[in-house]
Amino acid sequence: MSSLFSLLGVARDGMQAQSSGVSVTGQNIANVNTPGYVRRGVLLSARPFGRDSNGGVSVNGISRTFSRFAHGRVVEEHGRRGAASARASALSTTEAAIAPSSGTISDRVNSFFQSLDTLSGAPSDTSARLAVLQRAGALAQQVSTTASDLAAQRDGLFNQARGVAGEVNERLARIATLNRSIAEATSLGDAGADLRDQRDQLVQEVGDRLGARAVEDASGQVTLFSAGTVLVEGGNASSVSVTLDPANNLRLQVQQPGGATTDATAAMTQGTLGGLREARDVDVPSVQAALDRFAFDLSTAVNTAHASGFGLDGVTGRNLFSAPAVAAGAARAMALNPALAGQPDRVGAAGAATDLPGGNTVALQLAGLSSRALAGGTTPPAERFGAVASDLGVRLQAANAEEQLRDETVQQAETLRESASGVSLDEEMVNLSKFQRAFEASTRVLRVADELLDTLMKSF
Amino acid sequence: MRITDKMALDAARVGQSRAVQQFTDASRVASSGLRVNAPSDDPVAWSMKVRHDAQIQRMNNRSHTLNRAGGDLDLAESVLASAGDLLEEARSLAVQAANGSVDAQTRSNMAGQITSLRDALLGFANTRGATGYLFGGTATATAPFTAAGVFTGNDTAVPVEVADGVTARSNASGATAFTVAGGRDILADLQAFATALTGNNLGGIQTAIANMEAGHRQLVTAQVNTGIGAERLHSSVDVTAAALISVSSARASETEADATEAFTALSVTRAGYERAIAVTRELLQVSSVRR
Repeated sequence: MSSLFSLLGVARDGMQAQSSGVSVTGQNIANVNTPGYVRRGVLLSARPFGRDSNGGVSVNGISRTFSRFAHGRVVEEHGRRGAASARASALSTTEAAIAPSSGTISDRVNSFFQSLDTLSGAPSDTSARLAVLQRAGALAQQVSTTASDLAAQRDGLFNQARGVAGEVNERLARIATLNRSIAEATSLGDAGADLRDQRDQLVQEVGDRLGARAVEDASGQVTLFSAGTVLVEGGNASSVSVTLDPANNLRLQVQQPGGATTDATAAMTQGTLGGLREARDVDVPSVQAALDRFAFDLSTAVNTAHASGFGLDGVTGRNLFSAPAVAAGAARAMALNPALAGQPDRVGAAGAATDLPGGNTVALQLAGLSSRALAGGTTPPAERFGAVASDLGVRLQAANAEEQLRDETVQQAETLRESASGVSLDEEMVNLSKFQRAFEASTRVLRVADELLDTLMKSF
Repeated sequence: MRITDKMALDAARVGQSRAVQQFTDASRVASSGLRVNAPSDDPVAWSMKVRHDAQIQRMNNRSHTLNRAGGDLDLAESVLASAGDLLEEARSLAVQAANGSVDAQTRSNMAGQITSLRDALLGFANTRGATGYLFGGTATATAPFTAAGVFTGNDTAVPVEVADGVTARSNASGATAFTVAGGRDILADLQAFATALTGNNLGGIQTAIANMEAGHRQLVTAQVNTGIGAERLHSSVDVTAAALISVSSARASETEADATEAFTALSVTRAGYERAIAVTRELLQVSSVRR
């Protein structure tokens, strides 16, 4: 049979339990905005009411309301959004290089052909000839600068990818360390809730950068899969490195803890690294190749026509642009023929030496290129370049749409996870009142027990 | 579904972010008046814009070139008309001089007049336009006729594009206007006429009447042909101007924003943005924490 003294124990248990409740509630409130924090709950159970005990309450631990499924979806969606965001951001830069708000290559093309039109109307006019040279040089320089910008962007994306790989490695190491700590805590009977919060947040951050999937074992450790391979297993972490292959494309290598190296490039499709790879090794090279082809075809067409013309000095056979041998690299190498620089008399406008100085058939032919399809395509020069920019626009538009879609799916997944694991201040306020009242009631029990004992003492 | 504060505020934040994005986009369109500022705004419209820009540029260039060439042809036509008047005057003098009552001294005096007319005609034949000497063919840098009346130019046509792939002659033919290539070497005929007058050669004077008439017809023919050429260039300018309006209009409809639509969108997105801010404020105010 329970005694009055045991009633004091019941009151004590109650106060301790409600204090724990208030503490856990306080922690939830304090971490309401902490990334990766999963709300906690105090686990209470009633002590059995029997011959040796008059009941009471005991604190069995702290619960962590975590949904592995919801978290897995968040990590997965972050991987997809990371890829979409990185690609969209990279392509925005490419678009700014290809189609600046003013002075695009097509503007330069138009300006160049305008000077040829003027020359066809005044073939012996030195200022018209100088204008042709000046605008040909400006066009060549703009094409060359744009090609250099694209190459520099690829270099920049490579450096960015290496930086991201470093961030991934830093997180993989921390996940492995936390795995070990969680396993130790679990073996000691501690859930290691704070450690798990940190680790799961890191898993999400790896997902952002490379895509990830985590599988938890009985000891609480996760095995992290990414890029088609295992990056963390228990307390061991692999490291990733981004290099360039002989074709100047990104290569992702994973070095296992044992030293073995795996090429995971083909599986690098998710996260920031996946998006950077898509932009750097698929989108930008496509634009570069189209720009090279444009520069090659334009230079060749102009040179072919110009070489048939006669300068005022009676010489023929000169190219207006430095002649590219092949399409690859033609954009970057595009330049005004140095032999013509500052030499307006060498511009070939006349079709025959006997037509000098007023002959304009070649100038007319050159000017006419602006409305004729370039070899290797079906459209005139300005439109040909417009198609390059337009193709990039389609890619960027698709990337932006993908990013928007992934923003929404991430939002959806985070909502699902937040619904299961997030802190609701409304709930915590109610819990706070609940535990406060219960604590007050327990102190009342204590007071009653004390009064009863006092009464009992005074009765003797 | 269990709703947390973060979920509610995140939803508000996303809505507000989307609303401000839409408001910013609408502001950009309304302030710039352009619907398409970059290829990714509308790749097809961007491509059309580039095509239209090239067409507009080409049409402007063509108009400029045609106007310049047309101006030179107008000048050439006017010069040929004046040259024809000179020949007409020379023919009148030839008719007078052929009269048997005119004495040798008078004819000698008339020779001086003819020499002056020839010099004036030589000046006309060596007229310069905007692109060089008008009647030298492609030899535009040097005077096509020497003081002796020898033609040093050529009869090469200088073409100008009047439509895509279609060209027309933009220079008057000095060879057919003044030299034997057109039938008579007018300067030589005038010289021969002056010589006949000086020598009181009645037969030569009578021959000169026929030559002056033939020369006059030759100049009139050249004037008419030049006028037709000039008219063709002017017509092409008009056609190009009409096409330019059409292409500019197409470009505007592809890339420019409709003002009414743009400002309506601005108002709508602004209202949406204000609503989103109000919702966020409301969410922040409604909380059990404050009770």
